[in-house]
Amino acid sequence: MNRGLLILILILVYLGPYIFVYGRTATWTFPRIDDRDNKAFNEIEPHISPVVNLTKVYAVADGSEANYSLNTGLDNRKFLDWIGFPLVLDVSNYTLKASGVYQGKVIFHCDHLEADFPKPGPSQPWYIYQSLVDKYDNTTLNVPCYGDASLIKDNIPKALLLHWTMSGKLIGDRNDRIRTWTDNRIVEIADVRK
Amino acid sequence: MSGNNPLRYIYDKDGGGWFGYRGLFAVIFASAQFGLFAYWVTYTGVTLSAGMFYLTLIPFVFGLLFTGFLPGKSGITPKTFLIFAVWGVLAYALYDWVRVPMNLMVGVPFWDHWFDWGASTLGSQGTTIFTYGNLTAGLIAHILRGWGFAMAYFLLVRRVTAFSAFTFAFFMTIFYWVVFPIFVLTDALPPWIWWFTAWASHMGFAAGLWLAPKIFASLYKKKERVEAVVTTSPISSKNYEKKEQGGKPVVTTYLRSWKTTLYAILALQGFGLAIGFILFGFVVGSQPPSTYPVFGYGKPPPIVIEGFSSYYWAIPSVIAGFVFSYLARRSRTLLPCNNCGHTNASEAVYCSHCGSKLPSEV
Repeated sequence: MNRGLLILILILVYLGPYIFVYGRTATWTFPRIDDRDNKAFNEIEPHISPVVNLTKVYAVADGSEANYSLNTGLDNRKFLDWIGFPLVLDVSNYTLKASGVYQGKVIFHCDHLEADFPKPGPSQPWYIYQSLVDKYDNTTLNVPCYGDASLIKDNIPKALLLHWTMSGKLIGDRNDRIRTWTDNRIVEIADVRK
Repeated sequence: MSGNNPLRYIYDKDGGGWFGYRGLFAVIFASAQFGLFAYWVTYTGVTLSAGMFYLTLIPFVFGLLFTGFLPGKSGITPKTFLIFAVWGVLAYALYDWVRVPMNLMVGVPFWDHWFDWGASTLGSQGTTIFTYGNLTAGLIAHILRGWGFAMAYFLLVRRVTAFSAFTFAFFMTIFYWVVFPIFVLTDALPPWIWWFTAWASHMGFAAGLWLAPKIFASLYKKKERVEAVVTTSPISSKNYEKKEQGGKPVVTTYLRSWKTTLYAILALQGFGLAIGFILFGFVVGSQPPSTYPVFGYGKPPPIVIEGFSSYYWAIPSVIAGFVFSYLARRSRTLLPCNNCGHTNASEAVYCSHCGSKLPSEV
């Protein structure tokens, strides 16, 4: 065989797989990652419990204060990455601002920052990892809220209007997006004080 | 002492044995894998940059210094390294070529770990892992490892043969089959297509090891250079694997027919795949099946075939291994011609190449 042709073939043999990888990365890997990231961002749903727990009432210098607990968070964090591998979407700087209003008065308000949501670590056996992915699919936390206890001294309202806003930075494989949700809903107050 | 004494593979007084310079340099050139191994077994606790600095770069530097101590009679020279370095690139190229159709046909994303390796080397996190920079860094580490293993093979063998190339590559396959599911794919259960791809690509690697000297033979201008470097032992010295005849060294040829080689390789595949089936059964059986379609275009390949434990598949593989071992043993041997070195069928009396009378026994 002609030596020049052989050298050319060898160069193509050497470079071929790597040209393929870069080409597939541009045309398959990255677009697929972007698609799956965006799909995961869009499928995230806010979670607000329909019940707010009254946990404590205590005296302060100029009156009394009530503590509440609102269960909130994000649902549908689980998604499949570009190779079909199950991941939990990273969530950072999650904030919740809410106020419970009854007959025009603010019964309680919440203002919470959660730096990072939990997620499976980098290396677990598969049977543990799978259960953690399912566990963190819907992640909720009990956010503390505070209010003037004198407003509920005579009567704890059964239902009130909750104005809420939550936001969080969602982090995928190659993309991130800050999503914000705002809504109102009727919630109940459950007195769980012992 | 005959140059064919197998003990000389282990140790010889010229320093060329596995417990001599050949083994030392094989370990040094395989050290690209050691860096990755530290990254793997610590579950990424040791970054790849640290692993490759301490366990790859430093051994390579010492290797460079050690070349100054090489005795000429060991058969290893800087020129030998250069030849092996050129040969060594082909094996990994073929290794990756075998994986290309696996991506196109069943979606095996064989470069996914290159991003992780690159990120661990360059310190990337979060959304900066999937970048061309990390892909390139991971790719270079990947090539370095394959090239290093090929170098180790060429240093360890006295002569490049198909059988030794496939044997070496099968050891690599088994290493990969064991280490990857235990230390790397800890958070996934590799489906059968992963095991198959690992085996097939290493067989491509073996083909590259075997073909490289033959392909590069045609690139040498001088015929004697071809004989000196390619048709004889990769590492040769004046009293090593050659016979003196009238003051002119004549290269001895390998006494193995293509049938023997084929049967021996098939026997190796049988025994090796039996190990693979047992490992597959152990890994798959030790964890519950995945509910997620890891690898592929959305549909998971079947991890197990209902009713057929992979342990059962090991039985016919072992039987095939014994059958081909038997066939390899009873296949005919070849005789070398003392005049021209050409190989001939054992029943031949005269050399088919130069007409000289052949020796009556080997």
